[in-house]
Amino acid sequence: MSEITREDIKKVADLAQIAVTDVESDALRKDIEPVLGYFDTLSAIKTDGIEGEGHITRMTNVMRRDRVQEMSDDERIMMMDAVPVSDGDRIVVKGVL
Amino acid sequence: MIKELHEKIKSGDLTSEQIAQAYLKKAHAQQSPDDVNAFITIDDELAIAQAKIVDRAYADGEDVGVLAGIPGAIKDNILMRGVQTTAGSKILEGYIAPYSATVIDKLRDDHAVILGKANLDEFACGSSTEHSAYGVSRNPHDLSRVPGGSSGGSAAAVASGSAVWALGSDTGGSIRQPASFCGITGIKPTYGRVSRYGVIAYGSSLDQVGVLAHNAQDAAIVLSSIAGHDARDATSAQSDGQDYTRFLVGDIAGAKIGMPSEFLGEGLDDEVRAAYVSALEKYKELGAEIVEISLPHTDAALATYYVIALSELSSNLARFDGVRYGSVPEIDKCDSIQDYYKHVRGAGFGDEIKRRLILGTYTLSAGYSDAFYKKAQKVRTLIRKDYEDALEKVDYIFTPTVPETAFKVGENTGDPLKMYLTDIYTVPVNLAGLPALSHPIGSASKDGKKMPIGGQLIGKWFDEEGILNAAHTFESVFVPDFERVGISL
Repeated sequence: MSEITREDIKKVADLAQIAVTDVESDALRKDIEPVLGYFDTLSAIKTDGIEGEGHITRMTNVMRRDRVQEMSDDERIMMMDAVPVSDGDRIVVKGVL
Repeated sequence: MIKELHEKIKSGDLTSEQIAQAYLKKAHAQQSPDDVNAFITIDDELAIAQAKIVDRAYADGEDVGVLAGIPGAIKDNILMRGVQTTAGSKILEGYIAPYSATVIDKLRDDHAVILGKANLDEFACGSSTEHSAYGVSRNPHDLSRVPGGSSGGSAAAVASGSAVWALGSDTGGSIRQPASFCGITGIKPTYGRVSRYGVIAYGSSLDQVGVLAHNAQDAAIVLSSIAGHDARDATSAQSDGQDYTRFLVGDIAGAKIGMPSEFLGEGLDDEVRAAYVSALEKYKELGAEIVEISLPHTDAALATYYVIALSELSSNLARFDGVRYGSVPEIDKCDSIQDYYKHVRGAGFGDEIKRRLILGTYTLSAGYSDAFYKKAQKVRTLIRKDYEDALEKVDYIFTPTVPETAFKVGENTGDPLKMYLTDIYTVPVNLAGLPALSHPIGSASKDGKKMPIGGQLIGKWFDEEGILNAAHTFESVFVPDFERVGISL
């Protein structure tokens, strides 16, 4: 496996949406490199013609109608209480666009 | 132990409130960073209120069931309405769950008393509880050692006598490994046997809720309460749960127990090996036939597990972005919503979660997902097939639960790969979705202290009753040589 650089870590941290400092990035690189090397041992296993398994129970999807469901005022209040920044019944976020 | 306490409540020797008080007292007394420190939240008021309801029911002549009034602890990644649920993370500090997990509703229906929320590695990621933002829990058998993880608080609470039973979750060994380290019994049911609704997800194709208890009978009682189909969990098995205590007949004569040679190689502690060999001997004396089996892809299981689990983790933890829940961030200091997410997550997640999220994102990222994630899914198929083939020849597979006994606090934190290796015997079971339990089989002398050793019994899909009965039968002839702590009332 090729070497992991500080930039690689920063790029992946960006995808994972985690802010990392240079110091953190170097520590992460040191920790992660041997683990990725260990993961790479999988490449030696023959899997030609083998189907991948995403779920062990092989169930079919459970479907439901896409419709608005009412929730109790109580539950609604508790859910809104958990929101870090709100304005009445609305969740405040930074502009998306 | 649950049955004995139940009889005492029923006969009027003890009230449920007295029992709750005694356990709360013990839990509080041990709640400090240098002590067992099993809980994140202890809720006296709620516990006593629940106990009083049970006492009133008995006073009215009702028999409310064997679990009624028996106090337990809940791993803090399981939602309980009105109670703080942190998942061991700073990012959820102060989060009050607006609804309860199905398992909590089921326990409430059976009038179990819940003392509080037990400590865990952050988002159930760890093997020692050292990755909790709320301090490490300690092994009741030696406070300088870890209780295991990630359900370490749950195991430590039961082993130290501050809860009679506890719920944990097990993604790669998080119930069985701490049960082994703490000298108790822990069962991870078949994937889908117990509802995951209201349980904070780690690896969704691997996670399963289970029980930690003093013995197989207690585990069977609690499992009977929580098992069964749940329409709110799309991966919940269609079959109903049942009264697992009915199957504890105490006889396993004629059962075939598989001994996988791949589990007995390098890295296995000598004392663990000796305890395992002597446990096999006991099973033989009880009339079981020991059969040598092979699980050829065992060596690949750990890498396969971590690739899949961490990929799923990185996807599951994307929802912790400071919008719907999370600690209050400095929103005005962020330039954009992306900046806001990164700031919240960078400050809220601990080092191990960051490590795992980076790894999981890496293994899913363009250019690498074929080599890692998709490859691991294929190897998972091979591992499941190994177990399928083996379980056609034998009824159960028996292995050591962990290659070693509880390690020292701080011993493995600097070496993530070494920490991951403690899960080597437990992870294949989750990959295959099988039920398994760990029960005590002996002890090892470490620094003059007797540290418990566990053996892992793996059963066929949905044969929880089989492994519970086998463990129950084993217990009838096994006298632990380490100290067992309970509360004598």
